[in-house]
Amino acid sequence: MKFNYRRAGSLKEALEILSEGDESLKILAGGTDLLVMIQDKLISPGVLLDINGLEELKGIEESNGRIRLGALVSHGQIAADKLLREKALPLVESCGEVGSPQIRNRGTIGGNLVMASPSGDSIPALYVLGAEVSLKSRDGERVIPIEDFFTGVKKCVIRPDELLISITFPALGPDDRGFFKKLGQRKALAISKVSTAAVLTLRAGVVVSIRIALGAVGTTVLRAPRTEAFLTGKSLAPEVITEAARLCAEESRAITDIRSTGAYRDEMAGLLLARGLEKLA
Amino acid sequence: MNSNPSIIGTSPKRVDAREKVTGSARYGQDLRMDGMLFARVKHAEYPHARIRSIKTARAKRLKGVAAVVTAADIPGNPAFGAIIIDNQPIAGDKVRYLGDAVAVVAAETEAIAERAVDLIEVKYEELPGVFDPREALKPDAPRIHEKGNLIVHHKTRKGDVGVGFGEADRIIERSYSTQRVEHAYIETEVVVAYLDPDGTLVIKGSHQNLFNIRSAVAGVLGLPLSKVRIIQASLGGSFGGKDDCMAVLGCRAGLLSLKTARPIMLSNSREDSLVESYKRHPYFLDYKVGVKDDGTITAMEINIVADGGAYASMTQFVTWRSVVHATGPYRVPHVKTDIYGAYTNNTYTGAFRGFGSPQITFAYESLMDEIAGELGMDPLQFRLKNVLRDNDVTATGQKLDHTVSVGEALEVTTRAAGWDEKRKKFPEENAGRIMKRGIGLACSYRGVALGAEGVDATGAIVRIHSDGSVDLTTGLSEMGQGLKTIFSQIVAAELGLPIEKIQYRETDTSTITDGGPTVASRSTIIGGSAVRKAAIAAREKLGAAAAEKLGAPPAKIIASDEKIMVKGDPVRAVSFREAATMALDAGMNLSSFAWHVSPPIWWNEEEGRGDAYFTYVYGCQIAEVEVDPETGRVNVLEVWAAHDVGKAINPETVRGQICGGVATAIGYGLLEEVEMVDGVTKTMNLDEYLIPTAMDVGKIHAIILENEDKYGPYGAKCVAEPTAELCAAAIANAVCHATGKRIRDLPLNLERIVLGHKLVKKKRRVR
Amino acid sequence: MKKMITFTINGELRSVEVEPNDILLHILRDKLGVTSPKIGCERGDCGTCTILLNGKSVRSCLMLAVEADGQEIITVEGLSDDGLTPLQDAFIKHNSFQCGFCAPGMILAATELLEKNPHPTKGEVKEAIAGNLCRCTGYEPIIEAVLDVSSQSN
Repeated sequence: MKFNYRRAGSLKEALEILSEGDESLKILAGGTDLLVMIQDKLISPGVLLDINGLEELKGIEESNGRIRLGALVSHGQIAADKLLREKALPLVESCGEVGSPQIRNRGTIGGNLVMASPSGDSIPALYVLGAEVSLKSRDGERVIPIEDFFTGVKKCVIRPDELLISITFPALGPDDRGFFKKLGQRKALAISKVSTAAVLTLRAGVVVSIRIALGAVGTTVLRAPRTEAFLTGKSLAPEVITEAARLCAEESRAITDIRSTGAYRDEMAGLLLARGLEKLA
Repeated sequence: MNSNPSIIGTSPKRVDAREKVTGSARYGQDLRMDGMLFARVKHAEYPHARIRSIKTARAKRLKGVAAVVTAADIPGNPAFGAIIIDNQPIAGDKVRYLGDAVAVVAAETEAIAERAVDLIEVKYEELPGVFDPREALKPDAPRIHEKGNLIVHHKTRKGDVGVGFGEADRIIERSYSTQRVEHAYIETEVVVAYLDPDGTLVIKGSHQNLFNIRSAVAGVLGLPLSKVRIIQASLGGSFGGKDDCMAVLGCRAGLLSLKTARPIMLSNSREDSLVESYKRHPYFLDYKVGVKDDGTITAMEINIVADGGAYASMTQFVTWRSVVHATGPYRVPHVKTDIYGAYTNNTYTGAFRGFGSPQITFAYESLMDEIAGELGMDPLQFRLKNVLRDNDVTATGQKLDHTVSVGEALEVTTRAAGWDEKRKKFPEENAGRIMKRGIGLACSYRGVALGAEGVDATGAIVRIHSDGSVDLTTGLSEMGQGLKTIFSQIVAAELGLPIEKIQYRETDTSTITDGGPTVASRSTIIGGSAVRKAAIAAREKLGAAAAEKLGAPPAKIIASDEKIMVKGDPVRAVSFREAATMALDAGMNLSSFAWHVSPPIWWNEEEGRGDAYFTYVYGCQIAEVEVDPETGRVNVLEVWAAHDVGKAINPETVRGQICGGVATAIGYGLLEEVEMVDGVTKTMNLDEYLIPTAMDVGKIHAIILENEDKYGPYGAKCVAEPTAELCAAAIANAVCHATGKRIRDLPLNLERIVLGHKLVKKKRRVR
Repeated sequence: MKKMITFTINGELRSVEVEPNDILLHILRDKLGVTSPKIGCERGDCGTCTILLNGKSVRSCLMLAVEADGQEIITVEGLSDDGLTPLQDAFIKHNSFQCGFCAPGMILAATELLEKNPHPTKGEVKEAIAGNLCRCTGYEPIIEAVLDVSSQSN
């Protein structure tokens, strides 16, 4: 594994480098996935562009009811952030379960997205938060809803000349609730067999709206539209939750791979939803 | 002349403490030498194939490559083996698993060596493989070795099971299986091989059993034993796992060193280690038990098949330990046990902490709970009715002439855990809650040391220097268990010195006679006895030298508080140092070598009976679990583990062994499996082979029982392995108590608890 | 394309020439003689290569050496100028290591925890060391050592 290394001093410089069109270039942020992929010879980049110096890609801010995360914000920062705990709980819960403390200290939210693993824990949380991803190139910037960002296992719409610079989403309001739950084979340092995230607006005990996302069940994170539709307008009564779990398991249609079976994943997707909802009822 | 053994039964600071908490301990991977080359291995590309040709010319031409060797370069025996000589460090005509090497490269850097490996072209004729030991034993199975696929068949016979089953009110038959697991020492295997100027080949590295490795290297490289010197680096965990696979590395690196006359480092990556190094045997176990309605066991018939993988390694001994202990610690008048070890094209299997006991303990202790359940008896009461007591006769016909403490272990552990109350209370409470509590137990007996596997003897050298400091040398290995500290304590006790005065020398085959391997939990009882004898012999010399000056007969002289003194008259004393100087000035030899041989035992392989071990240890573990029946998650909340160790020379290290053994068994019970599909390892690193993290291990209560044994130093027996053989069974029993589900196959992972079957993996070729 | 990098390691400013693809763990071990970070899995799963980078524990097997340019690194060798830290003492007292191979990483992970949170709960200790695998001790004696240090500090 031989490659060159370039360190971008500014966002402008980084975008210039990306515009050169070097197909062998890969972007280095936290490196916690990238370096493993290189070791495993899954990729063999010619150049790594280190973007860790880009201040524009750091920081967690809230303005006008929207939260902006710089792409370089680490999982550890998110997991420990007070603002996010109050206004983006599913994301905080998901980032707190990524890898180990050492991985969370280095791994970035932007990296987790562009790696586009269906078991990337932050992704279902960002789905239900209704996040948008800002991709910038020398020629401009485009904002993509997160659900349009992923196209398959380890595949997303980002162009080689683009850099994911930030993620934005509406802050959860006083009537909004959310959660992220995952199951791994062991209790720490485990890749998800299945994960479920949800955000819902509850008024007078009735679900006004809800978004549900399932991780590690398919080639990308999936929403559960039928379950969402079923829950909308209902109260979180036990029989409603049971039916929601059944529906959710039905529409999960999970895959079987090295980490689990489809049958188990389907059932757990529904169960994790039910467990999250029960706490809110 | 007497000692002052006040240090026995205490836990002084470990003698290797400072180096290990400051990062200065030097492990194999830390070794560097001038001119050192790095080796990499070209592995087999099929699990079973005939090698047609190997072309190494392109690899040899690569800049920076110093040598490429194949089986044709081996000057000595093509294979080695402790029992059956079948393990080929570099395969010649045939590969038998994907961990076989076909060529090994030495180059200036590891990266160059890796590139060279890719340039080696091997042509194979693929042969049909066999991956299930039960299939391998069928007459039409592909033959893996010329003599067929049966490695061994052991049996035990006692009484007449036909009669026993006739006396029974019920016959209960059950089948169990256990999985292939990895030692998962955090340090992978590594050696550095180099030639001393006198032509001695030195192999330093992560060795567990130095003399085994020396025999293998000398045999394969055609050298006399005296020209091969094995030195142990600080060892980053072994658990039985750094034996044959280290011999393999030693042969490969040694060959390259002979070829290049330069130091060679060969280290396994984690992926190499998972594919190449041997594992714990998967077992398929069928049990048939006759029992009376009052709970008396009348007969047991047991049939077991073990997957030995590509090479025999320790399969014969592992399965022998199983056949001796297969009934568990119970009075069974009629016994018929058969165990078969078979070759397959899987990664070979060998020694792993427990050595054939975790498998059978999982089976017979699950079974005991199942029988108790059928009879409507409490599992504890059922066991207490049947467990071995003093002077009882084991399944192999051995009369137990020591304190048989399995009953005591059961009673102490159940009391500590609140057994009676929890067995009653949990089912009632579970009715109203999602998370189900359960409590389960397992008990065992275990033969100490090698038993009838072979001669069990070892030596120790104690050398007293003129300044009163002391060197201690043995052929046994520190692996983290605390052997250096315990042996140093014994010398300190016998010489009346503080432990800091004792220097444990690094283990090196050139410094002492072959004292066997550091296995079978034999170090304290066999090695400790040799150390004690050597220390006593040295002390007696000092006593003799000082006797005249002190004006007392040697029998009246003791060593205590860094003095040699007259017993009961501490004013009449010389310092230890003075006594040493006096003795040396008098021309005395203050170096003593002692040899300890275990008491006699016997085994009749034909008849399947004998006095298999000279003594046994007993233990009981209880697991309290919380099961989420919806997700299948099992939380091990607390474990109570009581082990009769004879005498705890160092209670902290005993506790360390208990906690570590329990954690290993929690992994065995719940998480771990080296998954192989058609000979291909699926779990290639520690992201897929999951051992317990700190979050996965509950509170462990270590309970030390002490019934001193006449054969052990200060009454000590052993602790290392029995701690790892119980908890998987205790967890399975606890899960059943919590949920009513009996799971007979390990591990009890999430899918298995929810769906009742294991994950079926897709086939995927990794190499 | 070799590059000269300079960083502080255990209080000492060191410069070293590295290849862009050199992994920090290997440079520490092979070029700088800092061997307490160990090689266990080389993919971030075992924790034995843990170092403190600007006070935060990270996997040195998942970092390029060039990324360390200008940063501050502490390994277990540099935890204390004289003698042992209270945590190292507690590791000895509680028999918190056996083979010792995980100890350097384990001590650093626990050091980071105690810096951030001098009085952690048992659960917080377990979480903090969950990324550091140990096969010998069963973790219990390690957790005890960390809690012992915590109980002795104000």
